[in-house]
Amino acid sequence: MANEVLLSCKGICKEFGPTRALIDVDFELRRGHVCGLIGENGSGKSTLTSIFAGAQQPSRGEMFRDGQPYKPADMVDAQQHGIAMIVQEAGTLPAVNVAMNVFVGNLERFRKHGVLSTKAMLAAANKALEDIGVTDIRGDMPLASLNFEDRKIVEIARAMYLNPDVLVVDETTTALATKGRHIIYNLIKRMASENKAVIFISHDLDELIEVCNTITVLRDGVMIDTLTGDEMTIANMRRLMVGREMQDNFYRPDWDNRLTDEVLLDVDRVTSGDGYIQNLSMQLHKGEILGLGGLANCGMHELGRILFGLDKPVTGSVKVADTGVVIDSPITAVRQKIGYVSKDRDNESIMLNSSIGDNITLPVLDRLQKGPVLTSKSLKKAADEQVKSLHIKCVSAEQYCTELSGGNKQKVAFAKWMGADCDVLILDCPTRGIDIGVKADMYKLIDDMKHAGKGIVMISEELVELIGMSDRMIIMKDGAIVREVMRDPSVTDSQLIEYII
Amino acid sequence: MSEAVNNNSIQEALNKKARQRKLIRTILPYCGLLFVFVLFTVVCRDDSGKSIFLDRGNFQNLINQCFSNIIVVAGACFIYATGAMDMSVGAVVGMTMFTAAATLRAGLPWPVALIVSMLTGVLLEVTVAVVFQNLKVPVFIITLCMMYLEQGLLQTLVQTDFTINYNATSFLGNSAGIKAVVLIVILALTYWLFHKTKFGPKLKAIGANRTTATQGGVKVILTVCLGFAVLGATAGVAGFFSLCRMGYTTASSGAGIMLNVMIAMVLGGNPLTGGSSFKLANAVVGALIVTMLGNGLTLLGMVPALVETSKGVLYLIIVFFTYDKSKGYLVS
Repeated sequence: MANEVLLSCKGICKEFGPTRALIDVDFELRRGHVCGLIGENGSGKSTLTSIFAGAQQPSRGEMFRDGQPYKPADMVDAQQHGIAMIVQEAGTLPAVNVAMNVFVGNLERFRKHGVLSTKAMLAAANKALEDIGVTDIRGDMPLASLNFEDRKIVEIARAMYLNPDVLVVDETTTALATKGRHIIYNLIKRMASENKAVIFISHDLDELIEVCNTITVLRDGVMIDTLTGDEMTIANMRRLMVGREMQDNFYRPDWDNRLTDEVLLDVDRVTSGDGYIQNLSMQLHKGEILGLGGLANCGMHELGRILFGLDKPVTGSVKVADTGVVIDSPITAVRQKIGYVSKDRDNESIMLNSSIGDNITLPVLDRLQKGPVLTSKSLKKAADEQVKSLHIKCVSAEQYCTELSGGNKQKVAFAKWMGADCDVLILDCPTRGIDIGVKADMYKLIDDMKHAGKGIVMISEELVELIGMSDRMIIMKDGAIVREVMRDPSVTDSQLIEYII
Repeated sequence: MSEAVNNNSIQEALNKKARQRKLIRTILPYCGLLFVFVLFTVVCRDDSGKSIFLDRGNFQNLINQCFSNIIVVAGACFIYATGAMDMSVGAVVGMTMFTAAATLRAGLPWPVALIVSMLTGVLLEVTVAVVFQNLKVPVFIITLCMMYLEQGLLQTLVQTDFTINYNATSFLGNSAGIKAVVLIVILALTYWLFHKTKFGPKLKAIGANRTTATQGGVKVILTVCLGFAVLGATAGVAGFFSLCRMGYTTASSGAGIMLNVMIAMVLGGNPLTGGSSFKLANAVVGALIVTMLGNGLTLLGMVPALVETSKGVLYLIIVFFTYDKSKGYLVS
């Protein structure tokens, strides 16, 4: 039984309008295997797996399950065929309870005389959760009461209760902390030992080497190569994903940690509205990359919002040092040449259903209109300049942002503030969910901005990135600053983790 | 090598298809306009077989109806672009007609009445904008409440027909020349504001993503209020000229305009969620189509009440065909 081909496809193509997401993809998944699927954003990983899982139909090509033609009509149909997927985005319904979420699409099973048997459904939900090793989430809990991670766990239970032969895990682990990851790893192991198979999509290359038997690389919708055994090295994966050699260290090249005396932003004893951050003071200098690090709930994201005037502190103030202006709203912040890139790129940083140009020119509309008329020529010029200098991959600045890959969307969010010629930039998780190629570009960009004398606040949950980029790191825990660390090659992430936890 | 050529040609074909789709989307409203025009010219005939759609009497009617619809729709672009809507705009027009009539009856000259009428519209619309943004109530609910409030007020104020000295101002209501000038001036002004100043892009940004607009330094609340003010002003102009044409106003004057505005937006191809693809020209084409439809159906002998019914059905059909179910918004 082992090593038999369980799921395969031949010549799969998928097009979205003029964008070719998949081009003639052939793929084989064998029993007992855990197959890693990697590629930069927009390379087609999620498209391919969502076709396997029935969420989308291919434009052309065929699929086979155990040698038989396989053509799922939708996700429920795919699940009946033993192919289940845990998706990247939150795919739960917050208005109903956990049990409903687990069995959504399959509620027929609990119909008794035309009535839904809630009792049977709750019991089955509890069993499904216990099967994946979860006891603290129960079927009758309202989904809205669960946090983001627990919601993902509910999705795992939904994918698993029909005992699928193939499980697709799409970048779920990035959303999960230790508890959730543990569950996923156990499931993957169990699936492999039961002679089933897993397709695992992740940006974490170390993680992939650890759990996968084979790793398949996609680039621009084309299947590039499949690595096995010793070929599965980080260097190999990066090279195949990006299509060129990548350096190991793509952060700043220098270890210079001198700060200028000139202060740009002065944070004076601020207390946040909910009282989580209290009496916090800090300063940002000219030409400084200030790293803010800590756990997701340490208050650094909230601090970023306060710095840009999105949330008003109840006491204390954020002041622009040389003008003395107090930042009390994003309107003032933009006027004072402060820019902000939110960590929630698609919902906050950019307008997806607008052109690249519309996004880039938004903060500079006031400046571009000279006299009574705002000419389309001046708009186009401002947009084209940034598209060119940031190397945004697009047909033209008129292309809509929905059609761009994650990394290029993030470039648009950056470009907006580059065009506005900001003195201070607050970057909340600037490289989250971005592939290595674009990441390197981002680091280069941040370093360039530093050398142009701008002050950058870089908020990140990735310590390695902070160590690699910051002149000075402020480590936060429970809403307070616990440590300040200067740039030094001897700083390690394990050292910083101790301050964080 | 042959593989590469093959791939390029596929990409080229896909690009071409996308361009075609874009072109179709651009010209579709204009085709609709032409279709409706030709249809009614051919179908609407009197007993002798002469087309009555374009004869002098009806043409005059058509111009008058187009005039009000186009002016209100041009103003409505400034709120629909932000993703807002206004169910009360018909009642607002009614209110502006009433205040204009009251001003004229007080013996004041017509320019004063025009200004009073516009100010009434601005005041009512800005009230809506302030209330819905500060109370965070959905704009649909708040404008529905405003509609009932204003209609009730009108019924109290205008017990029977509220007449003005028709002869003093009828030249304003009936001269095609004056109306053409007013129309051109308003379209030029709204086009300039919407497409040639920073105001338009800001409104569209709010429609595209309110959070991004806020974070981009746009004064969102103020901008939306200004958008509603523009609609109020155009409603005032439309109300004033309707009053001059009819010489009286009633409690139900203006009713039905809000549906015309909504249909005009979708028929013209503008998304009801607002956003970057919003175009003034599209809305104006939509206004022309909806006016011709109403006029033509009446000419064909349809009872006025049934004309409203068919508009409702038409609206449903358009929404069905243009609504992008997967994304939850109208095709942009």
